Amino acid sequence: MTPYGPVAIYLAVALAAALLFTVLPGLMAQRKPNAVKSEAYECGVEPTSDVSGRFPVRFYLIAMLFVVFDVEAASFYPWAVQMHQLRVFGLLEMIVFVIVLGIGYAYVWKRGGFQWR
Amino acid sequence: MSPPIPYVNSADLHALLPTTVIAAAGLLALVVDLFMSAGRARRWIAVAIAAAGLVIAGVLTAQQYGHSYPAFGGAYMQGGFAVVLGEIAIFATLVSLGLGIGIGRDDQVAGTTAIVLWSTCGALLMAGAGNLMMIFLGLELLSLGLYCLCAMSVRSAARESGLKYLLLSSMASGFLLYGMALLFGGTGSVALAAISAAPPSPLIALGAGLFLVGIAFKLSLVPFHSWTPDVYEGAPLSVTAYMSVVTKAGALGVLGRFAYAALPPATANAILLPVWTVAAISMIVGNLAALQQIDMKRLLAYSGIGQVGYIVAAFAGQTPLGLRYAIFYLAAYTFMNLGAFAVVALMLKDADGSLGVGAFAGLAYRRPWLAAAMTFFLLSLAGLPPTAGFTGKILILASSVGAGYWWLSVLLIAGTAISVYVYFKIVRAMFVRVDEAHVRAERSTNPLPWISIAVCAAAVFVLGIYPLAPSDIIPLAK
Amino acid sequence: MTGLVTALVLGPILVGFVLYALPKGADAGAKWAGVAVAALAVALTLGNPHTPDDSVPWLARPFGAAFHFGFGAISYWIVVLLQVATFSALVALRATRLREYTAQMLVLLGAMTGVFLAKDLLLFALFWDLMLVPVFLLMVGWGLPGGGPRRAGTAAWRYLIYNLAGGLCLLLATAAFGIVHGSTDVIGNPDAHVVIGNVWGAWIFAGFAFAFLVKTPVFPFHTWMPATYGELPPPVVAVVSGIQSKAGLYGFIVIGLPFFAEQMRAATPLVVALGIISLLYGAFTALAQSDAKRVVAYSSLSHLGLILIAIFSFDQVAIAGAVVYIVAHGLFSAALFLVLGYVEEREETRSLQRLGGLGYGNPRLAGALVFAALAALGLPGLAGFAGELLILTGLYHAGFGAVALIALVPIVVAAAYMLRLFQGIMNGPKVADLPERRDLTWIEGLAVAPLVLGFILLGIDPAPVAGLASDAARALTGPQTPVSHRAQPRRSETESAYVAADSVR
Repeated sequence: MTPYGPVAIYLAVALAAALLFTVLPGLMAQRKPNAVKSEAYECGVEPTSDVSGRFPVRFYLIAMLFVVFDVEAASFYPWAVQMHQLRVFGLLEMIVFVIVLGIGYAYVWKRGGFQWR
Repeated sequence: MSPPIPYVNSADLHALLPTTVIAAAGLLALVVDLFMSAGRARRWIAVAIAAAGLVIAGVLTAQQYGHSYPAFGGAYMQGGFAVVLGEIAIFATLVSLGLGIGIGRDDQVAGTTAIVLWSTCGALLMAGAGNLMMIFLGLELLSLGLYCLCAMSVRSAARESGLKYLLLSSMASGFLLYGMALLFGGTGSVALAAISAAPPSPLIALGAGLFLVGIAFKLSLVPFHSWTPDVYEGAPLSVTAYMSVVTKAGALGVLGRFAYAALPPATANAILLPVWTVAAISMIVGNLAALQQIDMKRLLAYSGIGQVGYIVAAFAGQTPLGLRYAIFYLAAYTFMNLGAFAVVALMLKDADGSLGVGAFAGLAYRRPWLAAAMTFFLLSLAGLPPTAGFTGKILILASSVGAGYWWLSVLLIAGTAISVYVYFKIVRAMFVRVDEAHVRAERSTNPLPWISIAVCAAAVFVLGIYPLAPSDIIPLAK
Repeated sequence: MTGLVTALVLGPILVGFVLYALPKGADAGAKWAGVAVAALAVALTLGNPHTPDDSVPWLARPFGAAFHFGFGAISYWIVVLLQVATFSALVALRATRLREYTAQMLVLLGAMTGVFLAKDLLLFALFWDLMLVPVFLLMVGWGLPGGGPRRAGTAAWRYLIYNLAGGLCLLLATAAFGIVHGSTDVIGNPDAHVVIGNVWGAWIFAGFAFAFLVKTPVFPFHTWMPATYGELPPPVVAVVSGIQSKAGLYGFIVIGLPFFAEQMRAATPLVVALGIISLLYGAFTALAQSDAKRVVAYSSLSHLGLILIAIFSFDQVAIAGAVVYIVAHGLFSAALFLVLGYVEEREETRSLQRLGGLGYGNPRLAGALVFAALAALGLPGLAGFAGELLILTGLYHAGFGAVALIALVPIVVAAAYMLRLFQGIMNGPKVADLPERRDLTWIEGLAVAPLVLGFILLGIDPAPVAGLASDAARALTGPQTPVSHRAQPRRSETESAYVAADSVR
């Protein structure tokens, strides 16, 4: 068996499981629809348009900032685990990293990236 | 406790010094901008910082000439032809920033300048990349910046440009990454040198194929070129100029190292034959499509597709001199293309605008110096003497004929013949007599493009008259 | 005088750029500065015929090349002709934006001098391509379009695309030549020992031949020519038709004969056939034209076809005659186009139907035209005759007797169309609505004078040109017993040529 055999098996199992759990509920569930159950709300006005419409671009901004800083923060973990082996070089590397991150943070802050305008 | 990880050598860091300086200049531009009040001075400060960083990086890169050192265990090949590609990228960055004194509104310039510099870092990493990881790192660093830069304009075309580039370039990256995965799977190593040592296998051939598709996207070779004209047209002029050279410098470095160092000699010709074919198609199709264009940026985009075809054709047969001549022609292309962009910049009031071919009508009688410069650059693009384009083409022809690729050289001649019509359309417009009232004549207040024009024209002339010494300093492929 | 030859090439180009940089008001000064440059060039060339070559290394890889300029036995008189014709053209210049006009003409002079004086193939190719650019710009900026200003430049396109297609093939062939031989520094070098293999040789020669045939032009590559000669302003067409079109023939002599003799012999039947077609087609079409400039344009097609056949006969005398005729044709076609330019300037038409009777009021103009026309129809005593006679003798001796007979037909027809041209313009009843203008001014006369003087002198004594060319032709057509120049050829001298002629018979 090639070294990729286990990977292939793993992929196959994952795919099968995912398929199984998406398809099975639909097959097994009992359905008894009626007019009231099909309404969007029990009370209130019927929706006239799709809900997934517009919402402020600021959400994206915040989400993006989150992803950026989160990923950067995640880089600390491997460094922390290997800190002793990496010795001074690792420390210097991380200091540079934090400085770069800090400048980015300061820039976003100063330019009002964190304000909900 | 596991054994200590070997120190990163100081020589390793030295190899990355130019890249580090450029990245630091980008950070500095951001920090300084935070303390500036609104106004036009902000543009100049940001661009001045960037220029200083680029000049220092250029000098540092030049000092690496002749130092051949595989830094970070071979991930980054210091010295070699990466030095020349690096200088090309740095020069192109400098010129592009000068076209409009930065990119975007006054308060955006520091940010865009920093992004430009970091993208250049990506190109430098690509040019020297010695393994697949570094190639991808450099490529993404370069591309991510460009996604933002393309959209950096109020025009809706710019947004289209940015999105189009994001989508198509991501797809190309996907191809590239898939190819890399297969190559790694086939050889068990990410180092390019290890790939050539591995026994031939279908995985390697398939991986190399996908990898080359990804690179062909970045080089915008036909049929992977469809993004180029739209992206070039929508992006601000400086970004278009920047993309037309810097991405090519990076991708050419990758292609060169891949073709010369990574492919097993036994199968290299079979794997690369599609690349020469694609290059040949690019020369013809790129120039044919350029015939139809009336917007200068689109015209230069299509002409660039043809020009890249010429460059890649120099690789044909992987002769040792072929890579040298490809890089020589890239240098020639850099000067003539950026020179033409600088002329366009001088004809626009706002560096963000677009310019139709019609604006050149009668230019020779309104602004004779500008017309003379443009004529010179267009002669070079068309491959006529006494310019770098002429000598570059002679060298490429000699290389491909010498390698036995007759069909490629004949197609190169055919492509050139078509391109003459493209470029002389503009030359003709400049020298024809027109009623001045019908011409929309704008002028830029920015003097910096004149410097670029002078430097580029001098370089095009010198490379065109005496190509021997310049081409001989380009290191041969290792 | 070292450096002189290079100066003859680069000097005019540099002066051209200086003129371009002059302030806008300097028009008249620019013109006379250009005239002075051309006159100086003529003087320097005539005064220093034995100047050593200038050579500076250029490329070492992928093949050797050098900036190598020098006078050659064939090129020397062609360059003198070029400089004289440019002098005449510059004197005759009368247009708007004279400063730019003169600058372009000087660049053209330098580039064409470069073509003829280059001793390196790559350098030859460089100037070959370069000389197209000023002509294109002159046609665009000062052309006389047939269909009004909207159609300006269509002929310019045709000129550029045709000639550049040739130029690019030349470039490819040159690169291949360099790769095969290892060096391109070979023109006029008896020690070059060029051996191009058969497989490569055929293709490389095809590249050169295509470029040369388009440039000459020869049927069926001639379609750019009538429109180009029609639209170009007269002083420019004098230079282009007079000298630029000779570059292809010159190429056949100095590149084809020594390096591709085998391939040329193989191509002889085809090229001679094309030459004969050009000869007859040009002559009879010229007879039917109503546009005066086109008469001369088609007559060029006819004359140059004859020269081409002469070169492909591999006969020493025919080739010497070809060189004489190249110079002669340059002189009289330049004169013809200049005089026709004067006529067009005065009467604002060049249609033979509209013109007529000008000779009564303009005796000097008529005199200039009659001289040029007589030279063109090959009147004994004028230059055209010397060249034609040498060519026909050579052709006959080389065994191309049938071809020589056919070539007599267009020579007779030439008399008809040239006299028709002269009569149509100068003789006949005066046309009522043609404006009365001044006769030839002294400046216009000064412009034509050196050309007329040239073909009279060359007609009386073609020895300087023929002797030099004959010696060179002997070296080019293979080892033969020495003969005194201008001697009638003896059979033994042309034996090698008869072998080639067999393929034609």
